[in-house]
Amino acid sequence: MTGGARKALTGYTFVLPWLIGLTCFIAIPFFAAGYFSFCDYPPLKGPMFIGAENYAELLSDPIFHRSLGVTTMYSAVAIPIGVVLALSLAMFLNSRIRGQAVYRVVFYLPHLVPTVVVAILWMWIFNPEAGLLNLVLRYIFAAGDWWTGLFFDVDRLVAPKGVVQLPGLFSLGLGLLLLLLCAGRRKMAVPRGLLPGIVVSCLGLLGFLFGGPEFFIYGLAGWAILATWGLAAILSLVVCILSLSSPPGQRKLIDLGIPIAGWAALAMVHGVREAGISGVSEQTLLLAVAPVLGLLAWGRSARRGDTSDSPARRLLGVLAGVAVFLALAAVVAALLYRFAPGDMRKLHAPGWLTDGDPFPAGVSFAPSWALWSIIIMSMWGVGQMAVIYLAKLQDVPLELYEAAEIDGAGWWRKTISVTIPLISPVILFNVVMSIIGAFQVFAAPYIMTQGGPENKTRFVAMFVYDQAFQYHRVGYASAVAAVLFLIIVALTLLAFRISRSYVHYEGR
Amino acid sequence: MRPVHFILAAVIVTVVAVAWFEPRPDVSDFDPARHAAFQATWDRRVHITYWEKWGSFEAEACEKMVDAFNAAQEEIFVHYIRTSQVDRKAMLAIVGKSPPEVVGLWSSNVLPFAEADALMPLDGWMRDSGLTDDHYIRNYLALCRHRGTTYCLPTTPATIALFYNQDHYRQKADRLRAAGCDPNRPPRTIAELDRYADALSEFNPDGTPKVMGFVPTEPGWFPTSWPYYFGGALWDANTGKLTADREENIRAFEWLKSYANRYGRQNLTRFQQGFGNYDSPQNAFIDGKVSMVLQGVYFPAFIDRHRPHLKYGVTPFPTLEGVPGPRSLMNEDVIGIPRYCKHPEAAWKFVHWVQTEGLPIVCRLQGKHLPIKLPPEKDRAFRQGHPNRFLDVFDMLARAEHSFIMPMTVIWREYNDEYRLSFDHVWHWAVPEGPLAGLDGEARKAKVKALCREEIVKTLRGMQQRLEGRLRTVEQRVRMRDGEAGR
Repeated sequence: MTGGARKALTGYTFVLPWLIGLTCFIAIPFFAAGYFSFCDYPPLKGPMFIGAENYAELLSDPIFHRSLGVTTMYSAVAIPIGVVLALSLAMFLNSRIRGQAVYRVVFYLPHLVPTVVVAILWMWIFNPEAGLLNLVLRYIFAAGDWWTGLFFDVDRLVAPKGVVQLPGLFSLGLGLLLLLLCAGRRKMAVPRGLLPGIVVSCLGLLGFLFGGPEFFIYGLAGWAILATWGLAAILSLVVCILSLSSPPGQRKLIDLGIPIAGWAALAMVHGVREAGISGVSEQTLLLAVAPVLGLLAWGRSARRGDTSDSPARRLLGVLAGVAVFLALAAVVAALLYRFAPGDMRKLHAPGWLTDGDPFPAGVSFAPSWALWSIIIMSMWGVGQMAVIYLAKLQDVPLELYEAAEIDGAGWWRKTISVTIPLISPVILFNVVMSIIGAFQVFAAPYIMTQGGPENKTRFVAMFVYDQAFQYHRVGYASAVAAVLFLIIVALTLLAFRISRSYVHYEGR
Repeated sequence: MRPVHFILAAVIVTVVAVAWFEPRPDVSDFDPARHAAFQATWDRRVHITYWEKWGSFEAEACEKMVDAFNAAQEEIFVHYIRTSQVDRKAMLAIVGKSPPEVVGLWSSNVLPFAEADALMPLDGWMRDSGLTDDHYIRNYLALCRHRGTTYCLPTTPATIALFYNQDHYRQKADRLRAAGCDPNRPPRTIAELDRYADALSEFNPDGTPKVMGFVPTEPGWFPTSWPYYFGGALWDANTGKLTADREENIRAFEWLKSYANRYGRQNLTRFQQGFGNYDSPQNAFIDGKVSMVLQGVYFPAFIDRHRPHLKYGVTPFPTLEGVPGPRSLMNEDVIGIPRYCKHPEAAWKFVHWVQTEGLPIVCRLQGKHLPIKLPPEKDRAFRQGHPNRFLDVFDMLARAEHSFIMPMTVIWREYNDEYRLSFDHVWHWAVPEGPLAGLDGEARKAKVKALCREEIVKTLRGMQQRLEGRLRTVEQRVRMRDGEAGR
C-alpha cells in the first residue's frame, strides 16, 4: 500500500462512524421521506403510491395553512427581536463591569434547562390569575394608570368617544425635552429660579406618592386642584419657572411668587371649568405655552453664559430626564388608551396562553396573545446566541475603536460603523440558525397550548407530528416535511443573498 | 502505534465487551423482593407484559386486578407497566414489531388501530371461550368493533352526568326560588339549567365571575356530546353519513355560545385559568368555584380523595324540552392484543380472565359501574359497599335507551379535533359591533343571536364539507388498497 493510499484509508476509517450515521439516520430517511410524500402510508400497511395527491391536499388544508402562518409569524417576530436582544446582551456582557463572569453564566443558564421544564415553568408564569407576569403587570399598571390618570381621564379614553388633548400633550413632551437639553448641556447655566420650583414639585410628587392626593391638594396647593391633573400642573410650573428665571436682584420674589401664582392660576382655571363657564382644559392652556417658555429659558441661559457643574445641576438633569420619560410614558399610554383601548385594558391582566385574539387587536394578522407568550418565552433562551456574539465581539480589534474615538465617534457611531460590520458574519450565522430553529419549534407549544386556542399556536412541526402519530398519515406528514424543507432552504438562500450586501468578511 | 492509540483501542474494546456480555434486562427477570410469592412457579410461567394508561389510585386498582390474575393460576405471569400516552407508544412498538402482549387503550383508539391492522381480531377466541354479546351491556361491545370484527374488549366503562353542589343550592335557596327554581332538586331541562346557572352565579364588583353556576367549558371534556342533549347527533348510524350541521347541532352551539355572550368569553376564560388541576383540591367543582359540572362516573372517587365531606348530588344531564331522556355519552377503556406480540394465546387467557373475573375487581376499586352483566348474586356482591354512592345513576345511564356512543367512523379523530376546533372558534368568536350600532335591549339581543347563528352555521357547514372530503379520500384509498391486494 502506498503512502497516499494508506493516509486516505486512515482518513476514511476515522470518518467512517460519522458516514454510517449520516447514511442511516439522515440520508436514507431524507430520501425515503421524499418518496413517502407521494404515497398513502399508514404505518403498518406500507406505502402505496398516489402521485401528488398529498401535495394537492396541502393546498386546500386550512389547518396546514394556519400552522404555516403561525410559524411564519413567529419567525418574523421572534427572530429579529431575538437577534437584537442577544446582541444587546452580548454587548452588555462584553463591557467592563464588575461581576462580568457571573452575568455571563446567569444569562447562559436558561439555555441549559430542558425545554419541557422551561415550558412548564412558563405555563405558571403566564397563568393569568396566579402567574408572576400578571402580578408584575398588575403593579405596573396600577402605577401607570395612576400616573396617566393625572393627565387624562383614563376611563374616558377607553370609551369609544374619549378625547385626547394631543396639542397640550405634545407641548408638554416638547417642553420637557427642552428642559432636559437645557439641564443636560455641560456648559450651560442652571436657571437660578428653577431650584425652588423643583423642590415644590418634588414635594408635591412625594405628597402624591406617600400621602395620597389629599396631602398634595390640602397640604401644598391648598385647594381646588384635583388629583387627575395636579402633576401636569407641577411639570408646567417647572417650565414656567425655567423661563422666568431672572436677575439676582429679583430672584427671591420670582422664586416664591411663580409657583404660588401657578397654583392659583390653575385653581382659577379649574374653578371656572368646574363652574361650567368655560370648557377649555386648564392643562391644555398651560401646557401649550410650555415649549415656548422652555425655549425662552434655554435661550436666555445660553446668552448669559453662566456655567455651573454643581450637584444641583446634576440632580436637575436626572430629575428632568425622569420627568421627560414619565411624561412621554403618560403620553404614549394615553395614545394607546385612545387608539387601542381593548389592548390596553387587556394588558392589565392578559389571558396569555388561552387568548387567541390578535395583539394589537386592530391588526388581524398580528400574532395572538398565545403566540406572543411563546415568543416571549423563546427570548429566555437568547443566552446561547449572546455567547456566540460575545466570542466574536471579543475578537474585534481595539485599535479600530481607538481610531474611531480619535475621529470623534461616540458609542452609537462606533457600534454602527465598527462593531456591527465586524460581527456581521456571526449575525448571519445566528439568523440562519434561528430561521431553521423557528421552523422546528415543537416542544414548548406542544406542552403549553397543544396548538390552541383555535390552532393559533399550532406550528408546522406540530402539524407534522399530529399527522404522523395522531392520524397515522405518514405520507401526508412527509409531504408537509418536504414543503417545510423547501421553505427553510429558500429562506436560507435568501438570507445568504441579502447578506452579500451587508456582511463583512475581514479576510476578503 | 503511539501509547494514546493503545489507550483508545483498550477503551473501545472494553465498552464493546461490556455491552456484549452484560446480561440484558428481561421482563421475566425474577425480583426476590417483589415476586417472592411466585418463586416456585416463576420459571415455568409464560411472562407477558401489559401496558396500561392509569396513574395514581386507578393504577393501583388495575395492579390489584393483575395481582389477582397472577395468583389465580400458575401458567402465566402478567407484568403490569404504567405507560403514559399509551396509544402512541403502543403504535410505535407495534410498527417496530416489538409490542407488549396486552395493551390498554381508549375506545377512541379502536378504529384507528383496527384500520391500521395493529390489533388482533378477538372473535375466534371469543367464540371458542363462549364470550357472547349477551355478556355485555349494549353499546360497550359496539365500541370495540370495526367493520363487524371485535378488536378489543372493555375494561372500565364511563357514563356522564350532572354533578351539583348541594351546599350552594342551600345557601342560595332564596335566589333560586326567585328565579323560579326549586332548590331541593336539580334542573331537568336545559332551560331550567340556564336559570339555575344564573341564580347560582356570583360576581365580583368589577363584573368578573366569583362563583359560576354552570360553565359548558368546565371541564369541557365532552364537547361532542352536547348535540345529543338537544336531540341531535354527529352521524347517522344507519347510513354512516356525517351530520355535523343538522339543526339540533346548530341549536346546541347556539346554547353554548349564549354562555360566552352572557358572561363574557374572556371573563370565563380568565376565570377558568384560576382553577387547579383536575386531580387536586383546587378542581373547580371540588373547590366550590363552579356549582354544576358535567362529569363522569370516575369523578366521585376524586371528590372523596380531596374533599370527602362535600355535599353534592348526581343526576342525568338535562335535555332540551321535548327531547327524551335520560341520556349519556357512553365511553370506556379497552384492552386489546397487539399484532406481532410474542404470546397471543397467553394474552387472550389474561383478557378472557379480565372479562369474566377481573372487571368486578378493577371497576369496584376505581369506583365505576360494570360494562358486563353479572349473575344476580355476583351483582349484589359487586354493589354492596361499592365506594361510588351514585353507582345506580351511572349504571342506569349505561342501560338507558337514549344513551349514545361516539360516531364509529374511521375519521373519528379528525372529526373530534375538527369539532373541538369549531367549538373553540364559536366560543371565542367576538360578535362584531358594527351591525349592533344603535340597537339596545331586546333588539340588540335578537341581533346578537342572529349574528351568532350565522357564524355557527358557517362554521359547522365548513367542518361538514372538510370532513366529508376527508372521508371520501379515506374510503377511496381503502378501495385502492383492496384493489391492489386483489390483484
